[in-house]
Amino acid sequence: MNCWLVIDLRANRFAAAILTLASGKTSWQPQKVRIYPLRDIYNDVTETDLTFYRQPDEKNWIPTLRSSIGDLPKDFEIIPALLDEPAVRLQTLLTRNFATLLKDLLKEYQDIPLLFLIDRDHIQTLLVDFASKAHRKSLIYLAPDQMGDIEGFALLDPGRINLPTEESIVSCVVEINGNGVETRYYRWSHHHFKQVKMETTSLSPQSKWDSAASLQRAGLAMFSLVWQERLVVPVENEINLLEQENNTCTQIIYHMQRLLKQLGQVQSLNGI
Amino acid sequence: MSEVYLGIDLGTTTTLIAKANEDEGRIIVKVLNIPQKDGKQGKVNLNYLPSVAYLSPNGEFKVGLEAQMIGPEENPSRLVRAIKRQMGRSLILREVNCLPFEISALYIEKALTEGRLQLPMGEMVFTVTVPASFTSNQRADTLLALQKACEKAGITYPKQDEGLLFISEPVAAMLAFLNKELEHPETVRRLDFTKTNRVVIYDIGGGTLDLTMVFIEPSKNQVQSLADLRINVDSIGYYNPFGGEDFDRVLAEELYKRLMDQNPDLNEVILTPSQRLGIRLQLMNAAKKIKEALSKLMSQNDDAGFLDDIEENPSHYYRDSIRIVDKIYSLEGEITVSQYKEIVKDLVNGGSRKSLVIPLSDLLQKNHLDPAMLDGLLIVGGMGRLPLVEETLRTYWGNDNVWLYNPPDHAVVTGAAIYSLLRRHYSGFTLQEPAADAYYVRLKDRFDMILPSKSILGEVKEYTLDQDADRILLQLFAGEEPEGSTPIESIYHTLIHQGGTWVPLGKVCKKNTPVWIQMRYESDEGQDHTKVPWVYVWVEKHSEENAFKYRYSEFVQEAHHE
Repeated sequence: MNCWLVIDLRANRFAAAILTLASGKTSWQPQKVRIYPLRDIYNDVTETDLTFYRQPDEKNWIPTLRSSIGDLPKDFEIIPALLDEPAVRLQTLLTRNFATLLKDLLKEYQDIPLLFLIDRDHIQTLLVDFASKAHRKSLIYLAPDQMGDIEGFALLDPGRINLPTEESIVSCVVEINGNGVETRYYRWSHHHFKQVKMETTSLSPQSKWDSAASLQRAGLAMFSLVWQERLVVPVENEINLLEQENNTCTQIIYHMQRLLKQLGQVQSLNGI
Repeated sequence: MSEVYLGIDLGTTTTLIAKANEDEGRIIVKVLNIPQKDGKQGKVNLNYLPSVAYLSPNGEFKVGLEAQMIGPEENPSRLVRAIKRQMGRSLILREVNCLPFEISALYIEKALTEGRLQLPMGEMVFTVTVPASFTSNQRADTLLALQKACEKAGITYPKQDEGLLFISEPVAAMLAFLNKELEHPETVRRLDFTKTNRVVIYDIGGGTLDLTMVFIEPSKNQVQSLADLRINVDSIGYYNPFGGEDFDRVLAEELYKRLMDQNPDLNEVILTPSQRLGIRLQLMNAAKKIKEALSKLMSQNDDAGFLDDIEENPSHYYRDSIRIVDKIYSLEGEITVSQYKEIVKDLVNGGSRKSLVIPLSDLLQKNHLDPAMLDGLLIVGGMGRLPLVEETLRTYWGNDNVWLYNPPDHAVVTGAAIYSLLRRHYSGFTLQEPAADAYYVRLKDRFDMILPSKSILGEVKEYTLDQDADRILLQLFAGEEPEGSTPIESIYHTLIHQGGTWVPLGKVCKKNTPVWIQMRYESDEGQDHTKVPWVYVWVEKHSEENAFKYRYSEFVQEAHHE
């Protein structure tokens, strides 16, 4: 069983969760951080923008929502999107503001390694620096642009070594904010998942998720920690196989083209 | 019909609602959003409701953030806050013409109504939290609030579940903590589930400091879920109306002095009591904000590894405005962390019950224990965010087994939702919790104990009328229990009046006519967590048929009526 504090920084947002990987049982616990959606009014949330403000004469930045910055007094200093800040400022700002967001979690989950999910390359060194200041082992994963419906990986048992069988389906129940729940199905085909619609099914959903965002985040985390490594060999094998098939096809095409050419010559002789 | 499991934390400063789900043996809890008006034109989604009510000029109650924002400026005398401290008292809040439980009902109603909109259809199974040290009339008042809230929200009041509708706040917090522990791999856990653990829960919220010591025993060799644990409440601290509001009050007093120093002309202004109250409320709001800002500065030690520019004595520059008789005054200045610590020092290390350490050391002393004999101290409640609290308790406790639940203000509501699910799904789950107090009846010249704290069935006590009468005044008190051979008089100072009612005798009874009184919890299973007992009275003849029977909630209602 191993445990990770997953920090998702994609799209200039922040979300944290504890991921516990165990055979037959994966646990995903979204964690709360305190933000101030209105000046002086707090809220504890599982997901927020990387947006901050501070009043004049203050050193500390306060986390808030991007939609709230218009309501702040004019003399307040604002960081609308932290990761868009110029590199020269970002180094200091990132350390200070991540410390604000994460210190309670780092204190509660001592010795648990960090997994950062990112979508921009240039912050990698800053995160390595942050993790070393936090005295934590860390992994940084630059999320791929396209990997199918990656949330399907959250529904696999990490204790199972083999990949799913071709065309198999996994399912779960996801809460849709304020609108009840929906059952989702993912089909495994050609080494990636694709969400599919199913009218009726005998499959009973395997797990419940508090939101689609949590499911997607957990899928990405599981993919980076477990499944991408397990996919390497089968994908390589398939490439080899396809290449072999391709070679065979190329040879066949070559022979057939030669044959066609010869057939053409016969036709022309007949025409004389 | 499917069931929806909810928990409601009816706190002094905030009210929260959460729901629990079960997924492959795990219990997952979500604290629900409560959308609120922000006092201007907008709406905001917060996962708590400030426990504040304001009676607007059109006679309509506003609750939560909207009340907090507009009340202090519009008409502070119609703003009600910290009503939980008044629960169980037979008083009418004059400016809003309400009883305390009616205000609490507004918060529960709002939480239930908003919660229902976000949940699938189904039977709502809910649990409301109360301080472990709440006496029966405070609990009875909370039941009344719940009944009224259900009625107004159009939800059927679960009469058949009444004995299980409450859970003590510290016990709920412990359930939340244990649920989290069970999610973690053993290497990360703080408790060892192969043995019995004895833990103190230190619940410090906005208005109440509530202490409870529990035993947590495994009921199976391999503990895999909460249902595999037995939780027995061992000891409960005394009722202590002490919390964040007290810290805000002392800081508000300091701010008032500063305001007067900066604006000497204010000394000439003659204020009505309502205007004075308005200033006090505005200063309390300002104090609360300053406390939050200072909390962040105090926790900078945790940032020490990350930042190079840690200040030794950081300060916060506050800027606010106070409206006094239609004129706006600026409240502006600087306050350092060490100044703040000096202002609140009596609340931190003072020698009274209204301080952080004394109630805890009293509880341990009462049980002849010291921290080294216990497995840990769990801090929960909103005030846990003030680093001074954890720092002070760590120093007192003297070892590393001090844990702060994160976020500390979600522990209680999380545990309440878990309890709703457990009590429906796991009949084997046991939670034993005695009442915090013993109960006494007032006689002509003394008090007599009729229900000891750890008992669910009091003895039938016999008394005689001291004069001819056609009715008797039954007055009940709750308080500590004398230890060993200590005389009962030694605990008289702890007794709190619970209410009283006239019991009609139906005719004039002669002097020396026997009267029997008994107090008991109706559930024989020891699971009546409402801790609202029944009172039985017999005159002349002792048999079940001729008893006058009062539930505490009715009893208190009559007391309110009187």
